[in-house]
Amino acid sequence: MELHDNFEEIESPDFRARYMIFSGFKLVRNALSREKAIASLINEARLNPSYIDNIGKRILFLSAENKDRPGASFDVAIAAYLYCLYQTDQYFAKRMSEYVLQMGKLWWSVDLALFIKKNMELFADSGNWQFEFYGHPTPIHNLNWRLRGQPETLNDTVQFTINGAEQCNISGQLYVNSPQKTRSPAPSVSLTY
Amino acid sequence: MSVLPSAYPEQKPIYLRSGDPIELPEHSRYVNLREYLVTHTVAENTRIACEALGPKRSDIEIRSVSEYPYNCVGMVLGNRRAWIDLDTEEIETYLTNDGYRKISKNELSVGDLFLYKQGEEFTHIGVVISVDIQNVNNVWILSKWGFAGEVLHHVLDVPKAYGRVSIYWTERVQHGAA
Repeated sequence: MELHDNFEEIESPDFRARYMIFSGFKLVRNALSREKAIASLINEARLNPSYIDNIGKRILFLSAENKDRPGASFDVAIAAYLYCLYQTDQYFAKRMSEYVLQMGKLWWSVDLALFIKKNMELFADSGNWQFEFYGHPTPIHNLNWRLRGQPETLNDTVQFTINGAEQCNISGQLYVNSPQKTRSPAPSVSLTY
Repeated sequence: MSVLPSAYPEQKPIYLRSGDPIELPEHSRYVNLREYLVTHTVAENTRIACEALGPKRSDIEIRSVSEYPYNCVGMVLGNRRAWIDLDTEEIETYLTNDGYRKISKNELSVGDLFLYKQGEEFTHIGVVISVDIQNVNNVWILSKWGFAGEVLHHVLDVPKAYGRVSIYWTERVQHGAA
């Protein structure tokens, strides 16, 4: 499916109506994680990181369109795009979450924005170091300090394990801002599902 | 005349019979309730949700559409005054604190509650409005479909995402109870 086909599907009245029948944020989150158009968009964005910017621009565009309409008009679409960003570039997703919280008349998007902010703060506050997540720089490899907690992602519970476990990342989306906040030798983290 | 409160109202607290407050969504301070829904959007969402059910929809009756954001739990526990997030961990506690107890299908009566479940998650709650004593599977429900309208429907005629009915609750006093 092409990028614009996914946009069209996500912004359609039928797509919106499917989400407007839910009565709880967790149900919406679960549904977003199973949505074909969203999965397709996430896959495309992972293969082509420039799409991440397009998704962000879509949020800005819909936010502008939404100013003169009821908040529900594009709420679901904005939430869907925010979810895609969270699955592809968490730092960008956090920034867009802060933007969404300023808009004043969204519902599911606000729930998701609060969820993303809370999770990102949970990540950043874990352990003795403050660090930030970026979309494109060097992936984390290992971490030489203790990191506690099991931050929840939208799909899975992620467990941090320190030095020793096999290196992997979370679908290529978790990165650490090094080197200025890091020790020598370079910090490293192992992430496993 | 709009019955909606003025700009940026915070949701008013809702208390259970036990006196414990119901936790309302954290986002209420970020959302202007007046600007989220309009009636025709609610009506459109309801129509699309009903049409998605296929031919069965002819039996369904849309009772009301409201631009005030309340949901199925808010209809049942908040008298249509609040959106109460349907949370699997909380809903049974709310019902128990309100004096409800689980019953079997054979005990169902008008006014009892239905909880729907998809996988491990509760998805929806409705009120029984009609029971066919000859056929306990022939039950009609009144429920609010999220941000869509209130709908009168057969117990099985709900959006696929709601899954199936799993538990029945009543607050009626048990026969023989003091």
